[in-house]
Amino acid sequence: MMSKNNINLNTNRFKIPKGYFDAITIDNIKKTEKTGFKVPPNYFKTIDIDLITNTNYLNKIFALKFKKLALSGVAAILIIGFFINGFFSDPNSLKEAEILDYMNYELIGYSSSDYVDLFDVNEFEINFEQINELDLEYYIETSFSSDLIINND
Amino acid sequence: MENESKFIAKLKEKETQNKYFEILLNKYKEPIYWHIRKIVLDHDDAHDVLQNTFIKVFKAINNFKEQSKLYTWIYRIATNESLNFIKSKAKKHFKTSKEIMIAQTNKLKEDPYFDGDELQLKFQEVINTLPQKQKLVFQMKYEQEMKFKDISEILGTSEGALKASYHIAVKKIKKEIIKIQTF
Repeated sequence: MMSKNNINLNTNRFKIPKGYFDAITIDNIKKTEKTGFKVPPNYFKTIDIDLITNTNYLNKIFALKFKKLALSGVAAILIIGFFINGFFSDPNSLKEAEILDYMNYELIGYSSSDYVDLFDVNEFEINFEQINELDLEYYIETSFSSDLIINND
Repeated sequence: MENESKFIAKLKEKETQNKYFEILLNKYKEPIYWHIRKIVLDHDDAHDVLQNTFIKVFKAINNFKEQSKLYTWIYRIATNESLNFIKSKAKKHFKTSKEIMIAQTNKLKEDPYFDGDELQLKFQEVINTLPQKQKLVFQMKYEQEMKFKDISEILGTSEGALKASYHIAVKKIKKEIIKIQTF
């Protein structure tokens, strides 16, 4: 290239892997076309079969699979446990909090005779020695209307 | 021309397609590879583009209307595939094609498949500063020694415009190379 436009520079600056063009065949191109996936040239020749059959490698695979299985088992047990707890709990049994709520909000309008019918006095653990006269008087004055007292007299 | 028509006819026939495609592949894989490589710079990228090019050639051969020579048609596919490859890489990284090529050039120093010295690295950097088409013209004319007539068919630009563009490209590059060589 000895023209006046010659920049006089070696333009062969790129290299290729050895035997690269030999690996470009119609079969390789068709394989790429079918799968859409490509592999480096001579890839399959570089697969080390010993690595695959190596015991340590296989043990790692088994350990990983076992771990996954164990975790799945634990998760399954937890799910079954929640299900049993929800399904087999007695719908008729009441919790203490529910009873207290009922007493606080639902029994306000009940009369004293209703209370007597509903509850067995012996179930209440009341220490009458701790109730003094002042407390009792306060209770009577605030809990009952004067009309009721007059009428009951 | 007659031989080429017969060759193309064989490429289109199902019974002979594989055999003649193999011949086509063996004839053009090297020059097409180097054409692509000079555009994308990286060997692995060039390999991908080369495979895509020949897949497209294989699929589109039945639609080839022989309005140009077979080899300029293949070169045109290779050029478009290379430019599209760069564009899609640029899009993926939210960069321009120019920025991608600058980054690619910077990587050449560490590239095991780059055999050039410092001057050739600078040469590549200077080529990157050229507008896209001018860069292609320069590479195809100067580095691949193609005829302006063929380059005109591949790029779809008139010969006159290509000659002017090439002349300007050579002037720019020569100026930069002399600067580097002086220092």
